[in-house]
Amino acid sequence: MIVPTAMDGRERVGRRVSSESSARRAQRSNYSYRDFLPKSGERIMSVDRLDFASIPEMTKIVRAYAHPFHGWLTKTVQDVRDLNCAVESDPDTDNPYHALITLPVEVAMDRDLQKHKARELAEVCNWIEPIDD
Amino acid sequence: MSDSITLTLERSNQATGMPFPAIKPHGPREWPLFSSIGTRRNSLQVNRQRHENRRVPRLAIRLDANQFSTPPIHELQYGGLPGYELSWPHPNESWDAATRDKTDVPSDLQEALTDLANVREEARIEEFPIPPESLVQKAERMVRFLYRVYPARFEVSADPDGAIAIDLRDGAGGWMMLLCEPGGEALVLTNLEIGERRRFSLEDAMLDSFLRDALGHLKSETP
Repeated sequence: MIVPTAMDGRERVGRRVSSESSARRAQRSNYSYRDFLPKSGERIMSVDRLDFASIPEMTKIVRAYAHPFHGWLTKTVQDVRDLNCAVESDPDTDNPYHALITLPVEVAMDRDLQKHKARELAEVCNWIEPIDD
Repeated sequence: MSDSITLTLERSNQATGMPFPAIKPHGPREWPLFSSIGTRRNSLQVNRQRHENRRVPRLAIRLDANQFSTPPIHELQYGGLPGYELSWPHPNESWDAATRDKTDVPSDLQEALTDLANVREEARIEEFPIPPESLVQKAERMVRFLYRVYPARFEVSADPDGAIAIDLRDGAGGWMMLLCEPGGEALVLTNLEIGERRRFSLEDAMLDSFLRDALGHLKSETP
C-alpha cells in the first residue's frame, strides 16, 4: 500500500509501549504519561502509523527492532495536534509507517511542562496489543 | 430524614477561649447534605440529610486552621451513627476529618497502596532512579490523604526522574497528577481551570490551597 506523506487528522498513530507495568495499566484503560515522556530536553517521539498495515504486519515490523514491545497507545493525529504538538510522517527503511510527534519548543525546555504534556497526551488513548502470526 | 453526627474536639490550652472554628463541608456539592450545623464549647454537631436514593458514604469537614494555635487539636472523637467510622490524620498533616461507611471496603485505596509498595521495584525494573524509602513513606501519607478527600481509584507509579506519581482522574475528563519528588518537593499537574501546575514543599502539600482546589474541582466534575 502506498503511504501518503501527508497525515490526515482522522489517522491513528500508535506510541509503542516497552514497559510491562505500563502495558498492565493500559489493559485497565489507565494510560501512563511515561509512555509519552521524552528524555529531558528532547521534544521528538516516535510513533507508528497504524491505518496502512494490518496489526500482525505492524507487529512484525516493530518486533524486528524494538525490544521489549507490549503494544501501542493510539491517538488520532487530530487529538495530537489539538495539544499543540506536530505530527509528521518519517518513513525509514525498517519501518515505512514511522512518524514523529514533536512537542512545542517551550515544552521541551521545561521538564515539568514535558510531564504535563505527556500527561495530556496520555489522557485520551486506545490500547492495541500486538498480534504475532 | 437526617443523621446527627457529633464531633468532639479537644483543643490546646492556648486555644481555650477562642471561638470555635468555622466548619464547612468539603466541596460545594456537599453543602446540601447539611441541614444545620451547631456548635458548643468543644463540640460540633452536624445534622445531615439522608437522601433515599443517594448513597452518601462520606462526610468531610474542613476546619479553619487560623482559629487554632499549634498544635491545634490533640484528639478528635466521633460518636454517632452506627455503621460509620471517623478517620483523622495526624493534626500536623491535615485539617480534614472524614467519615466513611464501614461497609465500603476501600479496595481502591488498597490497590493504590499495593502499587506504592511495589514502586521501588518498579523503578528498578524500569531502570529509573529508585525513590528512597523515606519518600515512599511520604507518598503513602499523601495517598491516604488524597483518598480521604477523593475516594476513587488512582494510579501510583514510578517516575523516570525518581519521583512517585499519583494520578487521579474523575471520569469526566478532569485529571490531577501529583509527583512526590526525591528532593522534597511536590509537583501538581492538572488540566483543571484552576491552573496547570504548582510546585511546593512536600511537607506542606496537604495544606496547600492549590492541591485542595484541584481536588475540589475533580469532585465537582465527577459524573
